Amino acid sequence: MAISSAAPATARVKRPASAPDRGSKLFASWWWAIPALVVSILVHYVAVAVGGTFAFTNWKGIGAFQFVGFDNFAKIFSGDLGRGAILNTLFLAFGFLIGTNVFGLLLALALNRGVKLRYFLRVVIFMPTVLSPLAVSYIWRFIYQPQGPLNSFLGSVGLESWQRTWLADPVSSIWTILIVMVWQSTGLVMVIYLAGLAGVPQELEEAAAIDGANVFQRFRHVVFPLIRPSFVIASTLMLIQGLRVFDQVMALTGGGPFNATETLATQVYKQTFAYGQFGYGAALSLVLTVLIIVISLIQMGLTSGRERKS
Amino acid sequence: MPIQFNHRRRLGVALGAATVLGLALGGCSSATPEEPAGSETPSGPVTLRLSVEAGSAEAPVAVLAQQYSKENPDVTFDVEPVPNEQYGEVLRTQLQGGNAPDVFYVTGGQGNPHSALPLAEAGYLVDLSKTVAKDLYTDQSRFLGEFDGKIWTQPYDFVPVTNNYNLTVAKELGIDLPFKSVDDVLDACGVAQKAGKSLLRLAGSTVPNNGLTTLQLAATRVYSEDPDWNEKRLKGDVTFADTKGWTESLELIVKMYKEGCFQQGAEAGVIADNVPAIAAGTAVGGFAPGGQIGDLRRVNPDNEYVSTAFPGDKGEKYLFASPSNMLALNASSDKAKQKAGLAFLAWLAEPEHADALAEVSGNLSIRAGAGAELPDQYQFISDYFSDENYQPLGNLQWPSPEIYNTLGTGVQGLLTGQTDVESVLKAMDAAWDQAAG
Repeated sequence: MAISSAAPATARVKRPASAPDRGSKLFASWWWAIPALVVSILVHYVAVAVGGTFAFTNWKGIGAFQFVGFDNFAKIFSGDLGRGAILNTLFLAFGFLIGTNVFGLLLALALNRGVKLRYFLRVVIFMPTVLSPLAVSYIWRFIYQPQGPLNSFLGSVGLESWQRTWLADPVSSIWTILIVMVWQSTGLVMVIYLAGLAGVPQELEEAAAIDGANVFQRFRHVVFPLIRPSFVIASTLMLIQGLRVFDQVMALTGGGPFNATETLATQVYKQTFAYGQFGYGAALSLVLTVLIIVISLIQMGLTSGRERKS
Repeated sequence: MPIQFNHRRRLGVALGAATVLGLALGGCSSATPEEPAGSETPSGPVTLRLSVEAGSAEAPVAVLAQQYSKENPDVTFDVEPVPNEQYGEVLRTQLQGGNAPDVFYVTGGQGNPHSALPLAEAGYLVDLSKTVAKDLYTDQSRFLGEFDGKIWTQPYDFVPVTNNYNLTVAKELGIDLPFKSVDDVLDACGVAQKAGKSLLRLAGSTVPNNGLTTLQLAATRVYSEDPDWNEKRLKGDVTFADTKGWTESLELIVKMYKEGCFQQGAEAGVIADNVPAIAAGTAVGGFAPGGQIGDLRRVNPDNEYVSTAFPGDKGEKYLFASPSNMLALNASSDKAKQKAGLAFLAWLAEPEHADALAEVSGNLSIRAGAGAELPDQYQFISDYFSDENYQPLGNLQWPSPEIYNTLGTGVQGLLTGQTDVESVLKAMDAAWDQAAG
């Protein structure tokens, strides 16, 4: 009797909700998001779409404008300046991606365990990350000056032939920017990898060592697969940050010498605000946006694919 | 056939600008210039919003505005300083959003983001043709504030573009100023070098300093022989590349660089270092507007400074001096404010106040071209004004800021060996042709 009376109760609990109940639950589950969704669509997507249409005009920031089709894009891809800006952007982005990840990972591995002063050293290495990129760049500009500390040091150790006008040298100038970018952001990447390394059981490494794996093999087959999520995060963040590089270029070289370090972001700023070519600036912005989206998606696809495989 | 839009499409333009600028904008104003109100003092209390470029010191116009308020207690000013690099963008945004200041700073011509003529063309300015403003232009400089046969801006000082020197250091080195020929300059470069200094300071990584330096050399090589060169270029009768004077000007910069006239690493120099270097005497001089002397005095008041003009190859005398700093009135302001603004401009144009403003700015009084007495710093170029050997700065009439930028970056490319003179001039021609459509 007790069993038979319990059965309907269980059935009542498990019975699916009626159609109106389902609708109201479904409605209650998402309609609260409508205001935020509308604001988000208006602020992010509609505004970007409307702004994007200006890429097809010759608007100068004031007054009337005309639709000019793909003229602005043709100018970007046919002119030396536009092509150079795209190439420099890609060079700095991938150089930044590689530099920060290599040095950040090495530092994370070095300071993960064992070193006595590791907590202090982590803080020291992370500290540049919290500084303003502009402030850091101005300090480095002083270091790179013709009579600055770098050339003085090279002279003092007998390397006078290495001395040069670092920020106005057509070859070295883009490397000086890359060095500053990597120097400042390596600490951030190190912290991301340290977070990943914290989840790697020491026993696994020890077991691999007992099995005869050397340091590189232990890293390649044990540690790296376990910290791959950190690699995905670090590489994605650094790639996007690298593609958007602006502050360091403006503060160090201003895009010079003779446009040798112009990037898409600096060109967007100059064309739009300095020369009043809002249409062309919008086209450059659109190219930069598409570049960031496409490269980031490819990069995330590659890394997450490997993650699934591993 | 291209589709034509006008500036009354408020929402679209504003939304686009919000995205492009990263700023929230209001709609476009469709302000139409109206007949100016009278220049007599307004009857009731009025507060005028006054927009000026922010600098290390208070803007000269703001200083004079305070004085005006003391004399006219019914008129007060809310001064809005905006950093130089954002000024044009902010002003255009405010004008389009319908919340622009009542009185604002602009530059003459159309070569800058905050140039007056595009704003006049768009209908944002009050017509000043029937005010004292029209008397402050010469025939040569009228184009800076004139559009459609009307005057839209009032210049408030006169800016000579000069070759400034630390006279104290020059005397110590035995360098006689002013230079009378290029050979004198090159000789002095050697003297300064032997003393471990440089004769001239060049901010080679910055467009404005490279551009201004080249223009000073071009004054005697292009514009003294052909003052209407810009007009001819607009008509397509001449080009940069086929004008001998432009080639000579750029070649001279390279020659001076190779002979050590500029500081070591001049191609990487920045403007911020120029004044400290000249004031400290590590460099004897540099190219800048005459107002730079005021900065030099503030940094090192113990030395004497003079403004000179760079000589021609055979001693020709010619320089650029322009009434390029100007004020304009907002056509969207209400009548009482326009009236008060006009009264303020009329007061500012009085010789006494124009001179007072020049003293604050370090430039020349707007009356200088008419033979007013010049400050001591201009002792070596006073005859340029009395003999009328000057004209407005060349690039103010150029149709786009991109041409000047091409010149500035091109000079850096010449110093680093990345380009040649012919390529720079051809690039300037291309930028001009593109801007002129």
